[in-house]
Amino acid sequence: MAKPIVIVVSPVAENPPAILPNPVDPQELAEDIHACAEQGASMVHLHVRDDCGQPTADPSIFSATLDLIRQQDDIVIQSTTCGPSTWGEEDHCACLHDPRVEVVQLNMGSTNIGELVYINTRPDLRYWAERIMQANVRTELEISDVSMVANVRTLAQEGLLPQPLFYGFTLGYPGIMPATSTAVWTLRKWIAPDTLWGLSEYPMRDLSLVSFALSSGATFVRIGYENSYSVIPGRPYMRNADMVAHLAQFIRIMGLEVATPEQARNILCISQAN
Amino acid sequence: MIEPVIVCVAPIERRAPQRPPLLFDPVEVAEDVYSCMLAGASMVHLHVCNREGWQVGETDVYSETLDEISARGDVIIHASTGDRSFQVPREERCPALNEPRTEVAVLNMGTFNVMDSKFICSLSDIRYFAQCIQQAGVYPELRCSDIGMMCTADLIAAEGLLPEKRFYSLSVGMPGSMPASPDGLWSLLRYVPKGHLWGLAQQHVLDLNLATFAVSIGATCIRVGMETCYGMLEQSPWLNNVDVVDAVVRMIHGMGREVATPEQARNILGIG
Repeated sequence: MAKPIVIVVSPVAENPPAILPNPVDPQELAEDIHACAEQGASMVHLHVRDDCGQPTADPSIFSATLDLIRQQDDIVIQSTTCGPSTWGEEDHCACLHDPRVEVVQLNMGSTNIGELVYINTRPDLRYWAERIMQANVRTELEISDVSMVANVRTLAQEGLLPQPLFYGFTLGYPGIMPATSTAVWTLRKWIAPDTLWGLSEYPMRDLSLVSFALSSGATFVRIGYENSYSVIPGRPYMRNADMVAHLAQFIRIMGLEVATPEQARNILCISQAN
Repeated sequence: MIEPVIVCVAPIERRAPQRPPLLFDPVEVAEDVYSCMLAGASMVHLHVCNREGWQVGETDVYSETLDEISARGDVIIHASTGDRSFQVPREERCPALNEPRTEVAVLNMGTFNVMDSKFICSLSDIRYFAQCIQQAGVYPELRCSDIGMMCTADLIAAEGLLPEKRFYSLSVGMPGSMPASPDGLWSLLRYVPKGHLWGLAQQHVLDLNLATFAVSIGATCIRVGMETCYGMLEQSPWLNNVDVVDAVVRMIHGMGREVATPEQARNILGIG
């Protein structure tokens, strides 16, 4: 049987140009995600924004969005502890308050990302990892440089990371590893063989690095407005669902399968959605 | 001809809260550094400190230390610029650049975790410090402890903020940084562009395995000394700076390589 690949859609852009039909309002967002799910996305990396379009830790907006998504779709819900450094520790854990969140991304170290500084000290990581474990949510280890793989080892030795581990390689911003095949290869060599991993590339211009990742063993790929506005050279803007469809078609051309939400839960060892 | 290897000594053990400072008096530091120079060190890594070992903005004790060192012999003065990152604004963080005898200065290339704490150096900070070093006519050593930092060096080089021949310091081994292993060094080396220089600045040094690996694949500079034994002095096989400099020199000679004099070291780095 062909290996199923999990397509993770990241539908919300960070600083979108006005021309982009960027879904922010919960209703628009749920409809956009539904269109992506129909094209093959089995997981959604969800950020929510307030009325002004700013990132918010307000659990009521998050839960309202999930209510709307669940009316139509069984898609796996992923959130993140990552947020502006101005947020307090509890704000970073806001994503754990809704029991429908199934996967949480944990950024495994401090680094510059572009002009910004992201701080995730070892005590921060321990605190968030424990909270994620208590909430019985699956952790995606977000890795953007080699030292972060070493941090994973430390936390795993302390018993703070449930097995099997699964890694998300985030590449391409200034300050972190570049979005190149060499970087993917390097990280892949640093993690234990047979460990699950996937790719989130910034900015994602086409499918060349994704195809390298898939052919060297990636299990999931992230695509959507948070990563880029198009994945076909020459086309400045695409809809989220069209990008997902383009990737799904490519996965099938490679002879692989596109995972359903249920397959995604099995592959990534995610306990059944609430 | 294969070039000789620069041995850099970082003589001063960082102040661990439970330990009294070891070595801060200018004459004592100079005596210690002089012994290392006789053993083969051609570069000394210093911080701007007061007599009690606290990092400060005033360079009088630093200058006095340089007076004492230069009275004894020639050595390249290599200074830290990352000090006091949480205490003072960045304008006050590079006092070593105010002392004209500083020849090489560390330029930190990013933000990272240091054990349970963090070291913050944003892209804007990096540009600022690179400009300060450029304006002072000092040669930067690009301190990189992960691959993202190597790429940041490419980025600011493209902005004209680095010299034509870059000198990377591959800083491995502190928890939060690239592991101090041949694999760790190898991963970083993939990102040193052809024709540029690099050295090893390993933390928590307990043996010469990685230093040997580094010299064997083309390191220009090896940094050792009590500063690199932070928190591990009890386990260190070397009791003082001269012992570890001597051990590295014997390792380099044992490989059939030469150790650089200060003059050769300046030629290799293209300074002075």
